[in-house]
Amino acid sequence: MVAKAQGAGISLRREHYEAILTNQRRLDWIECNPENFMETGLWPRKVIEHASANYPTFAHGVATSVGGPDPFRDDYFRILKSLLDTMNCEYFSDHCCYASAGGVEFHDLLPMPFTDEAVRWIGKRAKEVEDRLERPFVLENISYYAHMPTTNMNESQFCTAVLDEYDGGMLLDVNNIYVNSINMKLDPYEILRGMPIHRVKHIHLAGHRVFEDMVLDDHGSAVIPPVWALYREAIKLAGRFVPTMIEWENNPPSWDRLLDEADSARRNAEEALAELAASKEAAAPGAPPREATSAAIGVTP
Amino acid sequence: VSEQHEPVLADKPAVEVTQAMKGAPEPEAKNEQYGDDHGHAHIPSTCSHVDDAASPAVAREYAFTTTGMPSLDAFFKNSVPYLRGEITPKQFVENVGPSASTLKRLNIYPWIVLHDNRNSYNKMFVAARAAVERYKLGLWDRMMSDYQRRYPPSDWRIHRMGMHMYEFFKEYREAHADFPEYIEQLADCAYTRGLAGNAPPVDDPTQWIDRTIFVRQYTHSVPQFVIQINDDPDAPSPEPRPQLALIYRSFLTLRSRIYYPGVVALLALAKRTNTSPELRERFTQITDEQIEQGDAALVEHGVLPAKA
Repeated sequence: MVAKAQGAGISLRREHYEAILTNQRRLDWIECNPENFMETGLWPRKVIEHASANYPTFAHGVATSVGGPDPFRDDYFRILKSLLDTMNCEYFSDHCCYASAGGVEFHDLLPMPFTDEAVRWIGKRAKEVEDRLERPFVLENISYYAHMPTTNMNESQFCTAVLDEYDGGMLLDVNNIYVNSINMKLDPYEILRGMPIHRVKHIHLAGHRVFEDMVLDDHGSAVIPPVWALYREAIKLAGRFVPTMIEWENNPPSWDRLLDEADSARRNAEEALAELAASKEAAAPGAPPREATSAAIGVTP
Repeated sequence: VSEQHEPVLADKPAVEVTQAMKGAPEPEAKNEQYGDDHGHAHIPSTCSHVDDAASPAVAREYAFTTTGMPSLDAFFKNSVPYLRGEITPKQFVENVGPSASTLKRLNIYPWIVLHDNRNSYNKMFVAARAAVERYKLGLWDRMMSDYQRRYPPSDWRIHRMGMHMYEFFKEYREAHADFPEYIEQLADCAYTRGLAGNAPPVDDPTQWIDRTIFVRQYTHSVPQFVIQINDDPDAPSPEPRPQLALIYRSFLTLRSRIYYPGVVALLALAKRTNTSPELRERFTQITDEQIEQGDAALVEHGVLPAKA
């Protein structure tokens, strides 16, 4: 049976392998970096097999390098497909970026130039990923700290064009939108509203930290209030509880603290949907719903 | 690294028959970790930009596949040397096209790549790092910058970033007479633990050696230091003491473990894996019954599975 994501989940890391085996608390679904379970021995493999037998489990890659110039690696895709089949993944997600080029593996998520050429290139490569994996390929908007040379469109336009190019699903990372808005001095709500919300399959939430004149997406802390507010807006725009994932991989907290964060996501989503229903009820026929703004929630882009 | 070692089983064992018959396991560290995880950037707490390398960057040749799109091809052709600190952000922009970001901001990506890779080396080679820093404070970071330049990561498996570390340290020692020999062995031990732990399942016993079970002969007490340094940063440095070790993935815990075999245990391992038949001929004084006892000891510690 194909696993379906729903509700609020967590990203599974090594530090919580033991905890997932004995978990008693509510946990709606799990996401993992498949590269940590591919050719990585029997112990992690046993953990993920257990997890996927007990929870809907999704694979979120970091090494596909869909935007990169190098040919896809056959061994990577062969092992990945085998793992996805084992996990019964409905779809596979990775980042809208490149991670390798010229035969060099950077093991980092590197931004593309936001151009028409890149749109066509990623669209073509994304189709190949889907063919190789025999399932939909979902792309995540990444955090980025600099505009790559030749960029001539904004992030929302780029993501929309890429997903239109291959008719793909989106993994909406709300924290990345917030991080990018601070680093590029933009309004996070404008970025969010420019994204193809109708394509969103699930949402990521994470912490970040301030560093010199930037905000770094380090997944090393709790989600902060402005990101929760942006998340609620995303849920309202979607009009449904989009499956939501907490990423807290660096300096990971205790298992209970991590699940508390997932509970917060569930609560925030339910509140947002209640607010949406109330605003629809209160609004005069034909009146547009009131939009949140950066100023209204105290965010200074 | 492992492929470059002569199989120890083919050599005369350093341990005599009269020594420990069964061998002994190495207690595992509380904070056991023998690799790095894939994931998002591990951004460090300080930023010194990319000019702290041990030697100037030298442009390399990279094998590019064309995307068929001129602007994108120019981007990738220049992005690799840019990310590896071989050209400056200014040159990157001049070669590719304008960016709305400042050069200072563009410098963040070479810095992230350098420090993220270095952080992975730090996690993978905890013991070698400690030993290098004891040899010369501050040398480790410079060596890792050199290593990164000489051996660009080329495998999507993150733990294989360290596959050349043994030869890298060996070459350094050959150029620096006072550089401890055991450092390259520490690198080998750490990398081999990763190989054993991360290896895909191997059903055929004749294929276990150098895939899930590695036989190592070290000149110093290397495995002990690799284990101890995880819990005690002041652990004593490796002592000059020949050390035969099995680095293996336990059939019991499915995780990487170390075992110090005696000759009997080695003979049992050779018998089960159908390796080095000449070894048995060299130790005719050891009985089949003793070898069965050695086999039982290896089973007890998860080196071998119980016989069907």
